[in-house]
Amino acid sequence: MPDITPIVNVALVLLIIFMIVMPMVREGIDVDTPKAKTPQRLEEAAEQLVVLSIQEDGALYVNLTRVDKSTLKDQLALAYRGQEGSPIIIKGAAHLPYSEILGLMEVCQSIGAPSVDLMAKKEE
Amino acid sequence: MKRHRRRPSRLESSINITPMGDVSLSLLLGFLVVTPVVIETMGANLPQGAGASAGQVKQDPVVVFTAERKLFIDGREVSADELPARIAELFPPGAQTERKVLFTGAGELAYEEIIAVLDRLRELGVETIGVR
Repeated sequence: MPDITPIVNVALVLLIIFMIVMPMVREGIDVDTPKAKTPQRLEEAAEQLVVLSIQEDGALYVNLTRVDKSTLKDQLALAYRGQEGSPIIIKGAAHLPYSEILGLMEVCQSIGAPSVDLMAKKEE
Repeated sequence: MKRHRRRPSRLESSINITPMGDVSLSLLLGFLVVTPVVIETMGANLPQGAGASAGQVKQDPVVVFTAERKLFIDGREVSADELPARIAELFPPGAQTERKVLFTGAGELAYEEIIAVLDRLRELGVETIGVR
């Protein structure tokens, strides 16, 4: 009978790593999104949708990549390619002025997105 | 039998960790595959091509939220208390029309205040919100 102790060790370590890292990866960029009482749950292939994040200090991310204001449109268009018609998720920090979000919506509109989804936390 | 009890086999002296290996490997697979992605959002439609709304027969109600935190529906100021009645008037319960409004918010306001207004509209039964 072969000794399976090492494989179990490896599997357990991997298990622990995945338990810790997975939620972080799935959550994406850490943004303090506003709270809402009636958010809708997005379930349709949500991991394939483009997430545009803007943090409190104005830092922009397309999915997990940091982008510049000047390159935002190109980067977003690149990420959005092939999903025409699906919404873009905007994950904005609660304390930002709304004009910042409006600016992002304009960019989304200019690359042809029909709608955006504004990410919100469910209010308890 | 007696001999066995006195001298247990050396081969079986360690703990059998095979079941533990099975469990941890399947847990690992489970975590890899079924981490649910729950994203909670407020939907907002973006205006499409300039000519799209020109021929529209019915104009959707326009909701404006000004920098003074005043709410206007179709140009008429609506207080927070009047809002449910006004929405019910616009979208009578039972009517088959699409419950859609166009929303404009002042850029100076905080994003969370805008979300709070959209949330209130959604709570009162507005299904689609167009942002412009």
